[in-house]
Amino acid sequence: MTRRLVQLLLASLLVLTVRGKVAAQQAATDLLAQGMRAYQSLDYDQAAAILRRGLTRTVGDTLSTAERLQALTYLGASELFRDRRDAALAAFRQIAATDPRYRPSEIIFPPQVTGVFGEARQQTKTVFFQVQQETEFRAKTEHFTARLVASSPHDVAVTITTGDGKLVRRLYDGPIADSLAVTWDGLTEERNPVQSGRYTLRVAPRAAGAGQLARQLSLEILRAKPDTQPWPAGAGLAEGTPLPLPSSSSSGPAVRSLAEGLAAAVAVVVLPSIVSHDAAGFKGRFAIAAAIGGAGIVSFFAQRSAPAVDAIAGANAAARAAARRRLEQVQQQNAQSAAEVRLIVRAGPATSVELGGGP
Amino acid sequence: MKTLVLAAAGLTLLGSAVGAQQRLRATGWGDGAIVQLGTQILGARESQSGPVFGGEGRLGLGPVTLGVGYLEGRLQPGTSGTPQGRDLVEARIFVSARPLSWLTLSAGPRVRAFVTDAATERWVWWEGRARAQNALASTPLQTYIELWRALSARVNLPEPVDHVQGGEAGVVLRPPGAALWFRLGYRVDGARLGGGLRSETVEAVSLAVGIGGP
Repeated sequence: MTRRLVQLLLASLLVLTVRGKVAAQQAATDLLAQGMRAYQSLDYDQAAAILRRGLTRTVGDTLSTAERLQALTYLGASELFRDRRDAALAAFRQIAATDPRYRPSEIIFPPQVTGVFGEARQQTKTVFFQVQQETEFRAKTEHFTARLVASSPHDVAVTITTGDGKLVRRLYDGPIADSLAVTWDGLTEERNPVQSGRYTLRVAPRAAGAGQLARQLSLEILRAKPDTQPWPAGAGLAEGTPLPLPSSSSSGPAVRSLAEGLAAAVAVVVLPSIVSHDAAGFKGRFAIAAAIGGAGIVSFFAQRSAPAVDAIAGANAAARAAARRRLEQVQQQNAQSAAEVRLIVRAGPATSVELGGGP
Repeated sequence: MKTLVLAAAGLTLLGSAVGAQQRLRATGWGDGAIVQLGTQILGARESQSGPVFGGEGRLGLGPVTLGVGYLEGRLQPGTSGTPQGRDLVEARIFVSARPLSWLTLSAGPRVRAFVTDAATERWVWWEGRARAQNALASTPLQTYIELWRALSARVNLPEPVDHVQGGEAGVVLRPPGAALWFRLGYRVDGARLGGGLRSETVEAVSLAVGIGGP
């Protein structure tokens, strides 16, 4: 009997545990559906409770942005019909802070709800960024564009700051209605191209007060290497390296060759007396001396009478001029490329910072 | 001791070149010469002459070159002097380096023998050489002058060796595009022994045909 009772208790505990886990693991989307059904059944208390449970779920299965907006709309409407206007406004402000373009369906929700929603949207002053993931542009001549979408018309100050908050450039200071395209040419306040690093695109309401939200977008900026052209082939000609053809027949090599030939010839003649005082002196050496001396003389005249010097000089001058023109063209293009700073801007995540509550 | 020092220096230079993994250069040539030997003993002069043939081979690696040479020929007496001829046999080994594009320095031992039916006169000496060679502008010709001196010398003669030295000059023709080169030169060396009691002079007019660097 006692054994049967213990088994029964264990089975009951098991069932309770499983049911608790199932409830905890109930999908957030199911909670949204239940909340919507409760709202449609006019059970606003139940609807608000269920929707809050779904919205507060932070682990496991959570609501998507669209589902979250839908849940907030039903929650705001439920709170309104529970005569909790402030709670309804808070829910609608969250919607405005999440997506300024979102509007509750006028078919589903009565004017009473959409009217309060409009009021909440007017009270919420924030913007949203629409930026390309990566933008490459030439500083000063081209620009980076960020489209700002406002939750409601208000005045904003748009700035670029460094990662630690120092002002780099003021981009815009004025009203924003529905949306606004803000451009930046990549220059600082001093009109210098910005250095590589992490920056922040910051949009803050000009009438900053408690509860107001400033939006920040993290930007990673890289300076791209200038796109230069390679040094043209034959550029050395323009810089005075040796020409492909000799352009002159200076007398230096000719005289040197003559001197070398004659020196070797004289050496042949005098070597016996230098090396050995007793040398008889081989008569055949004079023929060798004559051959060597003759070679030096031939070289002298061959070098002196190098033909077509003017034609060669002319061809060299033309080649040199053409090479110089090519070189100057490339140098000019490369200098222009080097002067142009190309920036690559990679957009990071956007965040909200509440203003008026301290630093 | 000197042999060991020079051999070590040569091996060190060659070793450094091998370490640098440079390309091996080979050069060789054949040489034909008319040699005239003049000997003067106590004022009495005799001369012999004849054709001599030989060759030389070199292996270069980086700045260092190792070479061996050999020549041999028969010298016949001239109108005056000894009645019998003699054979001339000569060999040398050397290591050379080229500190400048036109200058080559070399050192090594040389042996020379004059062989007759009755006796053999043997010379062994270590020599240091300096050779200047440069191209003649606008021609395929080069001229060269080479001087050398024995650092130490031994001979199996009764007189002590005072000095042995020599020189060479000539012209090299390397036709454009040709693998072969030709060299026409004159060389002379003289040995003085016993304070001038005896001297020997060897002169040669040579024509060489080679392949590789001249």
